[in-house]
Amino acid sequence: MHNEIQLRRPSVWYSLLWKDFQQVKSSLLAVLVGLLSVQLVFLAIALSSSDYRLRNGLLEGLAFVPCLAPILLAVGCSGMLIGQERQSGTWGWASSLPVSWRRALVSKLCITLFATATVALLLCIAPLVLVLMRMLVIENLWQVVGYTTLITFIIMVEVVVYFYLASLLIRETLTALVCAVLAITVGQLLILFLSLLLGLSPSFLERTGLRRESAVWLANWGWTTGVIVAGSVAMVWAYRSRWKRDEMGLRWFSKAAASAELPRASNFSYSSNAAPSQWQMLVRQALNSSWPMRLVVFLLPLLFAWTGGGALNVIVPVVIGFMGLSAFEGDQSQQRIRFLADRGVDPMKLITSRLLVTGLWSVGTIVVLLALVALDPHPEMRPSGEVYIGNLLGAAACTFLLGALAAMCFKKPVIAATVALVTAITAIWIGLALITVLLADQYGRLEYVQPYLERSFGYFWIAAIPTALVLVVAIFSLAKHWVVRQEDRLPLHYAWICFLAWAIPVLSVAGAIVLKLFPEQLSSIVL
Amino acid sequence: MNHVIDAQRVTKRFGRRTVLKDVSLQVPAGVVFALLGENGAGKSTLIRSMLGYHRLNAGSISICGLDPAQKPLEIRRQVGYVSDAPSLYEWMTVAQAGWYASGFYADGFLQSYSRLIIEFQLPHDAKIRNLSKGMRAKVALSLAMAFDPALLILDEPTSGLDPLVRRSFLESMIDRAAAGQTVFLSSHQMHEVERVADWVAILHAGQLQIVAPLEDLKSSVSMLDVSLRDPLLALPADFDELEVLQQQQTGRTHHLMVRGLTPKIEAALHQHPNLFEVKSMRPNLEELYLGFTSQEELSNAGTDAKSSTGGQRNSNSSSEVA
Repeated sequence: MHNEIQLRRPSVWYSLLWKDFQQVKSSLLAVLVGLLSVQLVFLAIALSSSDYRLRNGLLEGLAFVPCLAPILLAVGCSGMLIGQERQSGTWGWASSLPVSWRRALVSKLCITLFATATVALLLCIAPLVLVLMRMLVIENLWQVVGYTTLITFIIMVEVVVYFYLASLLIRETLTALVCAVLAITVGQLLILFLSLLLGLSPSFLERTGLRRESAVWLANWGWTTGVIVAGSVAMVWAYRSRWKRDEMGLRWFSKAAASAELPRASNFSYSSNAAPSQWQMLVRQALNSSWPMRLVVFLLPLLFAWTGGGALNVIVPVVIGFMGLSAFEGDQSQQRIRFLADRGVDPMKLITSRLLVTGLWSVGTIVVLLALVALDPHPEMRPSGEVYIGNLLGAAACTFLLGALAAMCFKKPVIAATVALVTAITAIWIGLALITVLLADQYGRLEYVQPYLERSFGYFWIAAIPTALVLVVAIFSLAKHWVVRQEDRLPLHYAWICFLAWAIPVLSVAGAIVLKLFPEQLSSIVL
Repeated sequence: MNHVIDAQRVTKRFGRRTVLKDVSLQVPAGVVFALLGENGAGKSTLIRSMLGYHRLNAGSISICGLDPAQKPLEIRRQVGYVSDAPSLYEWMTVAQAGWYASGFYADGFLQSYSRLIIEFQLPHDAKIRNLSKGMRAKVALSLAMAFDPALLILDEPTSGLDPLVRRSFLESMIDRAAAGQTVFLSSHQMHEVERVADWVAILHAGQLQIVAPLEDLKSSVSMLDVSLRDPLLALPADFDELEVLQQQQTGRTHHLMVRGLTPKIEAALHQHPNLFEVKSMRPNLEELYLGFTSQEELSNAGTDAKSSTGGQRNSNSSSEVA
């Protein structure tokens, strides 16, 4: 666009908006392409399926996608516009230009809003066409649309405010993202606690003459708005301080960030007089690196433990995915990989040490979580035995390895996190949809295989093990490309590996059906 | 005198560590001013304080008559700044970086930037991420100089530049000063600074050791080598009249850096019966720098000499030498 020097200068606003848009372009495309492909696959399967329930479920899922996009993109935008700028040092140059902090902040917020709205609107096209063609019937359409838009907007604003704030306070992007999730969770729990403490419960509001539903809505969202306003004030203050005083304005958080980015010297220090072996050195470094983030990731799900076994289906894979993302944190963002490569580090030992340490953190997290849920006094809240745990561990292993692969292939942590999240959502949705179609009987019903999958380690053997195997093999085979050659084509490798890791279980199921091995024969072989 | 930079008793602490201690300096307009100091001396902190990035614990700074803490935007419109590690947007091309920055400055920025990147032989369509360290430094310099700032502050500007470009860049600094602009640079490249700087300041462990026009400084300080016939005897009393900045001894010979060596004192030293060889010469900037920053040697020269020179240098700074 501007490769030739143009002699007409842009306005301040145009400069800022152009730069900020270029910053988020890759995140926007990743989210748009990922979720659009989910919609298209859902649509294709729905149109080819004769099962009414399956078709309706898929089309409703397709209509839900635009609600997810703004939240995902808000995370990506915050990471790119604040976290990445601070981590790469461009914040310093940007703040040395004669532009006020207000304009810079407004530009970032405008671009975040524009990007999220654009993606949401583009993803609304398919559901809209379906509604117009009467293939998707939603009762009280405009009410549902209005309510959903409002809720999505409020959640998105909350995410933006807290992710901006965390990225301003903590230099490490991933740590900031995790802390933002923690802040939002604590904020929501605080809302609950305060509303109970102050008696501003829905029943209190009901006494003012409101209907029950309206009172609940008002109580919840009223408090959430309060949390957003408080977060916004803190965020604006933090932005102003950072812009005007750069890194030194917020001393306490600068220290916290510095401890998160342990200097190389301390990473390589060793307590005994004997020189450490390469293996000891790498493990020690992996232990020191990003431990504050891992600690927050470990503590975060404990807040959800009270919600019982059901919530663990989502929480455990997400949390363990974050652990995976932290596996190579610092190696990429602080260019430590170059330092290690120049000293002839063994790529296999490097990868193994990183995966081992984060793997141990992950196992610890799962064990503590499951123990907490198992100790729950309400039996109905407990997970349903070893099958459930097996499937859960399988899913966690996959997200862990996917996170690690993304962290390896993408230099920017926020891009790695966004891509891994979009990949996981896309793979799970499309994979489940395809497997469901493949497993449905000739009448389009799932009853034939569903009990088998739920009773046995079906999902574990069919999906988790092949996917995890592909990812492990891929991570270790990419080790040389990453460490020794420091290839630029790793994102391309990531795409291929993810496709393979996703396609192999789907194809294996299809093969099993073609060979009539499934489910009786397969279950006899497997079990 | 019209001072572009006027820092008065500036003190900056980070936690318990005092990084700048009672620093006072005044920089006149239209000069190339070099700030010298070892790593961690506080050069970058002083520069960033001038730009309003640090809240001072004590003292005040005025840049072009403005308070950086109160008017940071006005300062940034008048001051071109290149940090020691300039981080530009890696995804931008050289042309895009200039186009983006031009939005914040007056008309003429792009023409000037365009001329500078041609001068520096930068490929305008190359992405910043694909440029070498030296080329990135050139882009950062072009961006800082393109709006013809009244004051150009450069933190280690020539690191990464090849010798040819370094030479032409430093010569362009002289042209800028001749045109009435002020260049404030911190550097470790003594030979280069010596060639272009009108004024020098030496910062050591957060304290300003000296601020002076380079020529005045060089003419006021002498390197003196004296050999004693009887090494057990003390140096002659004539040395009491000199301000000893640095002293080393090798066998019978004393190597001294002194201030205030007049022809009369030099003649008296030549006549002294215990001295058989007296050589005096003008020091270069590197020797001056070492003289002002070598505390160990300074302490050997005697506590009295150290305290008297230190006191004079700190309290009187530029006005005294000027």
